[in-house]
Amino acid sequence: MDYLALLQDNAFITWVRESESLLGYTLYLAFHTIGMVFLVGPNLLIAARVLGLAPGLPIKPMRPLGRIMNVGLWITVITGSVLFATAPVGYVHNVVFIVKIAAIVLALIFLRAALHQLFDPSIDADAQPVPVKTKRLMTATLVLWLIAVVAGRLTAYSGVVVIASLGAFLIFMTVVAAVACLARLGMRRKRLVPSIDQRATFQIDIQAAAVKGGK
Amino acid sequence: MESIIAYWMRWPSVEVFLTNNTWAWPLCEILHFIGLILLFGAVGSFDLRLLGIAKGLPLRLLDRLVPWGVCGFVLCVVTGTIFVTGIVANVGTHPYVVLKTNVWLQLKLIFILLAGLNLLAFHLTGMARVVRMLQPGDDAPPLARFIGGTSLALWIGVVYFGRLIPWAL
Repeated sequence: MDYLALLQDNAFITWVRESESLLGYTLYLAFHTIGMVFLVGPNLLIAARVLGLAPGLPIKPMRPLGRIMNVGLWITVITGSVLFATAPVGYVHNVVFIVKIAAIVLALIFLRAALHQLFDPSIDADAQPVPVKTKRLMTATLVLWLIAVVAGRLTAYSGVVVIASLGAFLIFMTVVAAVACLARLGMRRKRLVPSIDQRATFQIDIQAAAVKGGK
Repeated sequence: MESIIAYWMRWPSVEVFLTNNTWAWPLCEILHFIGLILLFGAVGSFDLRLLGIAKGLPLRLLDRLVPWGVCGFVLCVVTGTIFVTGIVANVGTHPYVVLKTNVWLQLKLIFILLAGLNLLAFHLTGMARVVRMLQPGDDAPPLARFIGGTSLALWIGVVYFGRLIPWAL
């Protein structure tokens, strides 16, 4: 671990860690978040289309969003590397941090595979339904981003607080998922079962048709 | 007046809740970030399209995703309010003192207000109606592009100042 100590004691990294300048630690911290929102934000838009939440949106024109996500990725990687270098020994022993990095790497692999399938020039993605494999890749990417965000926030905490916060977050997400499922079920039921007004109209239509038929 | 604001800003129930539940503050932080991503996913993408990126996307359809951005904003406002009103539990400083002395919090709130006024201008100038009629591939009018660029810059500012708030406590 000598090389990590060397990295930590590097003159520039020491300045970043200890400086109170706006060009020091806080700049990297703030731009790490800005990079993240530019990476994950457009990903959400593409995921909304792939997973059927925005069915009318054309897929092909979304390709330029990949460039924005690339910019976000590079900002996140560069600022994240500097932030890591400010306390590398602590980070490599932090399980939550390792989970965060693993989730980011996997999310990027899945995202790359999903985008490759969506924007393949030999396939017209808008002319056919999104393949199940692409949907699965995109769902996995979203779950991994969620894990990365949660782990990223919990990196600053330790022990019982991490476990308790994780438990609270899982309960919160379960409640949100249950409410979303109930709302969806309710909407589906509303579509399937005609309302009293609709039933009344239907009966009137039948009666009208019967009269016409009688003639 | 000052004492009324100070009284209104400090919520002992929130402080007690945050003190007794160690998971509450980190959970709010996580939800604040998720809200931010939802906001950028919907509003940021709309702004980028106004600026001419991914011009093939119809703004009329992107507009339908704005409620997701609103959900994200609400999540940020609720968790942000918990942070401010219960801050005594975390740093032991009265929220009113934080509001008066923390320049980053002041700038963040000003930028949120400006983003709101910018959105109001988008609707009042009729640009919201104009861009909804644009076809895929069409350029947004210069005023709409200006409003989109301003919105993006303001939200980046909100994130930037937000990250600096803890360093001035």
